[in-house]
Amino acid sequence: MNQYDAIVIGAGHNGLTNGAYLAKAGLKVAVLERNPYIGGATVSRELHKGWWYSNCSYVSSLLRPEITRDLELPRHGLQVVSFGGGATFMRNGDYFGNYSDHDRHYREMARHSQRDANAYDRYAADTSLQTKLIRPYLMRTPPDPTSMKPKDLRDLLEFARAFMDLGEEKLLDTIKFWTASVGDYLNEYFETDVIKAHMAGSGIIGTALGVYSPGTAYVLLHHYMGDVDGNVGAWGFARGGMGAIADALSKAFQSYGGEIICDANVDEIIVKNGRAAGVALKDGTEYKAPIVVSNLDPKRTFLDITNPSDLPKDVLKKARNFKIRGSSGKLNIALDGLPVFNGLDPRNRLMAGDLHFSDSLERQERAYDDWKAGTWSKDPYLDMMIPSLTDPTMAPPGKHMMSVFVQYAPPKVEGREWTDEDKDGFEKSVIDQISNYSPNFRDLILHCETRTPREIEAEVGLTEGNIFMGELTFDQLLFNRPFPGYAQYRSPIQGMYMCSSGTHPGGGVMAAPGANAAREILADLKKPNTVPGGYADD
Amino acid sequence: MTDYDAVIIGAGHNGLTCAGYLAKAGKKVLVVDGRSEPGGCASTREFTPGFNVSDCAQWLSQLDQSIVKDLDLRGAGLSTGKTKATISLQPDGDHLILDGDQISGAGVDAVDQAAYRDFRGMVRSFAKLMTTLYRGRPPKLVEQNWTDRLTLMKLGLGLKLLGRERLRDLMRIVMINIYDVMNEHFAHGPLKSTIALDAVTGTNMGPRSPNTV
Repeated sequence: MNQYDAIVIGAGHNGLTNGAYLAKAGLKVAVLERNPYIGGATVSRELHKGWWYSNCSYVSSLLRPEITRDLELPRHGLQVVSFGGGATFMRNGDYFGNYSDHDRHYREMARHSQRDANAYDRYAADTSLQTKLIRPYLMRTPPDPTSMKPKDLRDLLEFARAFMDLGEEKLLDTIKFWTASVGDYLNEYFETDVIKAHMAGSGIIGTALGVYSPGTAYVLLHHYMGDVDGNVGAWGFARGGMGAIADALSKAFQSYGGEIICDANVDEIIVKNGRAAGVALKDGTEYKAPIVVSNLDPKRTFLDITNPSDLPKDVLKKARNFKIRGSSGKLNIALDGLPVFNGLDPRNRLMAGDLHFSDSLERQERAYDDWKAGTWSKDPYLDMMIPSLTDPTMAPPGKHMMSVFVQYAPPKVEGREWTDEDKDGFEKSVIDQISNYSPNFRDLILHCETRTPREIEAEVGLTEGNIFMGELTFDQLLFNRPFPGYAQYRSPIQGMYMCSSGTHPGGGVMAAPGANAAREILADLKKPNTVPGGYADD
Repeated sequence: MTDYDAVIIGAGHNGLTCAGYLAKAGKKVLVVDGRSEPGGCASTREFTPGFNVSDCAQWLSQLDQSIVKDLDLRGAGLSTGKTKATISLQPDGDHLILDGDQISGAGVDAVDQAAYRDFRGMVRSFAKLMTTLYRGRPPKLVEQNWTDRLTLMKLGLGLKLLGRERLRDLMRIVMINIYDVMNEHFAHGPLKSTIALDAVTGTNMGPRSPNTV
């Protein structure tokens, strides 16, 4: 009998987290997954024999430590190893190294500019102020500013007080930060092109904006607000690839009695008398449950798997207007050995970090111009990593696995669908860029998986291949995510909820949306809460 | 050495307005300007014999009517013409005309005409709210005094009076980009670009940049 207390659609990290907390509260929960494997965009796949690719998300930092500890993910096999630093290679043959050690970092910055080296601590302090401000709200439901409910008013007041406590000057800095472009923000501190370009990458990754677009300073913060083992701002590799996170979450979920059903392609959410009643699969199978939680993005949730006649007109309009732009692509490459980069000793620890090739804000902005024109850039911004240097389980001994995130890639090429020739052209632009700085790279390639927005959408079900399940601009953040009036994980249909990265606090492998949604569902069911609140130890 | 109560640097329209109010209050005021004529960006120049040009700013829509009245600008000779329609020229001669709430030409259909009236209504209700802020000094947010608090309270009341749906629209639109808003409201290409022009004029941003609405 296909009868459950709750059904979660989509076995990505948020769906599994949501399912785990509902099951922990004693509900009979099934998580349905369209693919034959779980994980969504948090996945490791052996796409070339002996090589494992984190073929979507590839590094971890945002995963909330409250959830890691509460669901005992390390006991279920999760180990995140932080990596140190990174580098940006320059056209003149030099590079800028971003060392994680404070003193080494200072010396490297001073090698490029003494002024910038001296400005760094001020920059770090100002940015971490913003981090501290946002972190307590990650594991909370955003208040609705249009509501007069006591809980919303209380939360809003508390939110306002946190801002007031900053004092006039810091509050104005904060308003400026939230509305600034990452380029303008960095220009206030630094003078050296390569240093600004190295840092600016975090402001544009995953967004359809350029380094000079207002709002990108926040995107930078979005990449700074996580931690590895309490080291705020640090990033790491999940041992075994990002799929290890989904595996650990699935084991936690199953340990509470949860059930995962793969190859279950949902056609429609069944609504009876205005209430969610279950789901129907494309093959005709039905699963019944009074609670249905969608871990699909807001567009797919409301425009694909919900019958329009079950929804108010304003929600249909809001879903259609939801911004979820395809802006990035990825190459996953199996290598026969370690590539050598001009100017950098292959034994240098920076090799294990994030490597880049855009040495000025101008080059990054030009790459965005190409995206606007509907094409990939001949000078793409790359976030390249060799995870096998840190995690040897990713490739056979002596061999290496390389992950290349590409900003930008248009959702359509000059207005038409991607073709295989386009994909080849895109791949070539990336391989050429790396080869410009690494003479032996091209000859080491054994296998290359190239993912344009077309492949990401088709395989993972992210609309347009948008990695954050919706742009991280202020019109879609906090109480505006996914839309104003619907930011508290409830859909307009009773018993139907949202738990994806399209809800607060947004994209990245954070698991907070899934957990926050579970807390709201349990409150509606009048069940005891199983979801931890945010730690107040920042 | 001449003594003044106040010296104002720059005889543009803001310097002159500030001076006007101070002088009206009985202060002895001097306005100095680096150019040989006052006006700054709001001046007229004879660029070739017999031909005048608005030197910098070229049209007027934002001059606050309360200032016109307070300083009796009409008595001092200011006359403004009738509101002009905006015409977006099209290569085929069928031009798009935006006149108040009405749009016509360039094959614009009834759907876009209705959408335009709705859009203007929405923008006007938000603009009305903004005048709460324009007609006073920007309030300090933490170190406030009663003047600031009053401005903030007026703003808060104005927000509440918008109604729930309009407030939700405003929350979303306040920092958004014009490109998406145009595509959400209209189908007509020239109409979108005509309205979007006002969102990017004078800024170094393009229509896809957030904060252009």
